[in-house]
Amino acid sequence: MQGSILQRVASGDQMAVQECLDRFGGLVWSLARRFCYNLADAEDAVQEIFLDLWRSSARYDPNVATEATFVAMIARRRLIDRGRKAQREVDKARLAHEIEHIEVSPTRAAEVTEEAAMAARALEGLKPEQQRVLRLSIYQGLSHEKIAETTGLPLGTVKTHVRRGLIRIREALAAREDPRDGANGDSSTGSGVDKSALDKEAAS
Amino acid sequence: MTRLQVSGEHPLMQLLADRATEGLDAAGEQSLKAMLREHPDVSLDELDFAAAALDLAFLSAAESARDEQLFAPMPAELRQRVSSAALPAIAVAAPLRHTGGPRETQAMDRTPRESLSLPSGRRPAPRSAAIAWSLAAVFALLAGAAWLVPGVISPRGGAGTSNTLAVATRAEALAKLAAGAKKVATGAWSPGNDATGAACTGEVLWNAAEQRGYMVFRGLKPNDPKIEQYQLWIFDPERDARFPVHGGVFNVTSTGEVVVPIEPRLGVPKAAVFVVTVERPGGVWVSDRSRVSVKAELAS
Repeated sequence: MQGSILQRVASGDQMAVQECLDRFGGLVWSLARRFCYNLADAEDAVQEIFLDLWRSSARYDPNVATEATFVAMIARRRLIDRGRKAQREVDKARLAHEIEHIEVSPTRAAEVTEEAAMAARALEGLKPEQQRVLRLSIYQGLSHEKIAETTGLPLGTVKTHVRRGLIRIREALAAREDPRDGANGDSSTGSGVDKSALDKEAAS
Repeated sequence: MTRLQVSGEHPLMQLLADRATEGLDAAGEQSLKAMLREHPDVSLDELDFAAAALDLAFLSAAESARDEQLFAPMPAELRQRVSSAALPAIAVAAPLRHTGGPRETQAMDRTPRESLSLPSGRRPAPRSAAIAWSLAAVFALLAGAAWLVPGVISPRGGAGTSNTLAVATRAEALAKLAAGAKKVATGAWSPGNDATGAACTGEVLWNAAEQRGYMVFRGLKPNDPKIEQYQLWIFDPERDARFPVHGGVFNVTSTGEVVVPIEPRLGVPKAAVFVVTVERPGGVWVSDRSRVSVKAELAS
């Protein structure tokens, strides 16, 4: 009767709810704090995200993505919606500095999930201008218009960079054989990626 | 994840990319819906997963650069609020199903009263430490500590939903469970704090290997389903006693022998204690345990 955490959450298993919070609570909290105006706002966001997650848990398909990526997707969905409604400026200056200067590393990303590692590798294969646009969009949460202002690129170019960049990453993820292979350490992709912290527990 | 089913240059992909990064306004959402109807093989989340995976990569890099613990836990009080909201939200997404109640036999009174002795004729074995622990934990919880946050009833599980399990008498129940089974565990009902169970006798019959069983009641007070229903909770000493498995809701329309199937959706490999409470129609996700009708411990 054991399934993934999210599948068990969908069955109403309260123990699975606690496991979900143990494993993904920090991830959601990190995402919320990055995108929200202040801590109170972040706490509200976290509650809304988990409500969305509880309601969506039955939708989780392990053939499509790992649980961490699914959780991150649900969180991003809610944070983007909140950002559009609030139209508040978060501390983008801090984020801008971070995102321009940090090194995205597949090895470090693999500590989170194999998919993050694959996305990091796909990013490395993009042109610098495209990478920069994705950093500003995905990590910093800037609108495409704001990115165009910041970079001096035409809006159409920004949109094309975002679209083609995400498609490249999607193709890299689709090329992976099974989201669970990496978690079990017997990756058939031959990527040699270490077990991710979040996925490792799933295999134990 | 399958390969993309449309060209990357298709306007649909731009809408999906916009949605995955900055969101869409109402007009954008309408356009997207229309295009997805034309391309049913394209998923709404098509690029959201890619954005999420990349974001995880950025996040791990940023937290590492700040020398922070990767994904430090949220504040405890926030976690508690999030946790409490879980099951009601899940219930909305997959509503608690009424089980339809047991098949009560009108022939109750003519049915010979079955012996309450164990099928094997042996006396119950002494309690194991594990069972003793579970009982102590359960009854302490029943007495007043924080209590039951339930599992959830399954659309296909719960008392009374399975036609193949429906039986009229204890004898039939035992026959169904015992067929091919090594052992059927039993536990006699004892009254709880509620008047509904004061005159109740009977037992639980449980086949652990097949994860199903029956509740046999005699003298359990009939309920009006419009006002209240009975709800079963199953305790497993290897699970946190605060989170018993939900065994379903059921009705009783006779004080004669009533046999109710048990078929929980969640596994209870070491089911040890069965508790029946009285709840509002449809059951509850969190019982305040104010009305415990009967309880039973399985003899090993």
